[in-house]
Amino acid sequence: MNAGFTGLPEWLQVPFVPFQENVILLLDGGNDNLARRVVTAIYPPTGWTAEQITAFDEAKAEILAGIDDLMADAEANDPLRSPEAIALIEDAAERRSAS
Amino acid sequence: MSFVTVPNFNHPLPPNGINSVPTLAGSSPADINGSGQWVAYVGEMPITATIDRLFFRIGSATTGCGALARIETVDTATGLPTGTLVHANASQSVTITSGGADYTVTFPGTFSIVKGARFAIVVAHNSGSPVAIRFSEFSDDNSGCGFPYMLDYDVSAGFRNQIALNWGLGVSGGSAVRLPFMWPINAVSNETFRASSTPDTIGNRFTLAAPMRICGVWAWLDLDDTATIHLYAADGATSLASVNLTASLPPNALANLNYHLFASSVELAAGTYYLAVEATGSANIGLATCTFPDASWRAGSPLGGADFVYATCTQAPTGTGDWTVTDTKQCFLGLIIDGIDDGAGGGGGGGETSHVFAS
Repeated sequence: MNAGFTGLPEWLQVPFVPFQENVILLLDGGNDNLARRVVTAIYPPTGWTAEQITAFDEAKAEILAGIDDLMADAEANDPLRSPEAIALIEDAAERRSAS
Repeated sequence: MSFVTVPNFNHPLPPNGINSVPTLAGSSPADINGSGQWVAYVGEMPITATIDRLFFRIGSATTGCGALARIETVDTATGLPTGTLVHANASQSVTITSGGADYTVTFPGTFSIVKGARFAIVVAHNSGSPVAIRFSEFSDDNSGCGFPYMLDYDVSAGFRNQIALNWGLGVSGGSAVRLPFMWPINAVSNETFRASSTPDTIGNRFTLAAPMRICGVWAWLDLDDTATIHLYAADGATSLASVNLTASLPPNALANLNYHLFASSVELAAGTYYLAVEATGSANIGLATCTFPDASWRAGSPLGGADFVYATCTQAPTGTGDWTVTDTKQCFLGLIIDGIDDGAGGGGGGGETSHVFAS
C-alpha cells in the first residue's frame, strides 16, 4: 500500500520520504482523509527549478490519485459490503420498519 | 489493610488521543445524510443492568429528521446490527431538530441486558430528508480500538470509524453504564484559574471502593505557571500528600497530560477523598473538565463514573464545608496506583460503588 510513493525517480522521492511511512500507516488504518491532508501539505525543497517543481506537483497529484484508487479498492473488497452483509443490512432495515 | 505492590496503573484512565485543550465537535464520519442511514455503537455489557433510556448529542445539523433510537442484537458473522431488538421495549422514535443539542430518549418500558451480552445501540433515519446530521464526538479519545467499535452506514461511503461518541446508555433509577469510548457529556472546557482566583483550587472529590496505595496523580493541564496538586482526607482539610509543579518545562503553550509522583506513596482505606489542583502563580493555568447533561449520566463517564465528581475550594480548606461540589461535572484528573489491598488482615474494604475497567 504505497499509493505511488515508490514509483518516482529517486531525486523526486526526496521531499516525500519523511512522510511516506506515516501516510502508509494512515492508509492501513483507513484514515485516507488524513493521509490526503498530509500529502497535500508536502512542498518541494527551496531552490528547486520551475521544471523540478512541475514534476513535483505532478508526482503529488499521482500520489493523491493513488490514495483514491487504494481506498476504492478497499471499499470494493470490504467484507461489510459483501452480498451477505448487504442482505443482512436490508433485512435489518425491514425489521426496523416493522418494529 | 495489607498492600501488594503492583506495576503503576491509572484510575481512572485518561483519554488516549489528547490534543491540547479538550474538544467536542460534530463528526462527519458519524452522520445521517439520507434515507436508510444509521450510526451504531457495538459493545458488550460490563454489568447486568435494567435499561431505560439513551442519550446522544448532535454536534451539528443542517436539516433534521425523524429517527429511531434502538438497541439491537449483533450478527455474529458480520458484526453488524441485525435490526432485531434485544427487547420489545428497546426502540423509541425521536425527532432530531438541530445541532448543538442534547437528546435523551426514554424507552417505552425498561428491559434488562445481562453482563457480557453483545449489543448494538443504533440511531437510524426513520422519516424526513436529513442533511448533514452529525453526532457529537469527543475527539480527544477517538484513537479507537478493535472492539467495541462504531459503525456509520452511509450506503455509499463510510462504515467502521474510530469515534468516541457523546452517547450514553441509561440505567433505570438514575444511573448509566460505563462503556469504553462512550462519553455521555455535552461540553468540555479548559478551565483557567490562578492564585488570585476564587476558587483557586479545582479537582475531583472521589470515592475508593477498596483500599489502594496512591503513588501519584495524572492531570490534563495547560501548565503556564506553577501549581500544587493536593490529596486531601475525607475531612476536606488534612493534606495526605501533595506535589509541586513548575510551569511546563520546556515551555509548552499547549494543554497536555501530566503524570507526577508524590514523594511517598499514600495508603488509603475505602472512602471519600479530594484530589485537586491549586494554582499558585500569578498567571492562569488550565485544567480540562467535562459537563454532563444531568448528574445521572456521570455514572457512565470513563473518568471514574459516579465515584468522581467536580469539587472546588479556595485555599486553605478547613473542612468539607469549604468545598463546592458540582455533580454535573468532572475534571480530567486521576490517581496513579502502585499498591492494592491483598485482603489479609481484614478491614478497610467497602461496598462496591463502581465497576472499574479500562476505557
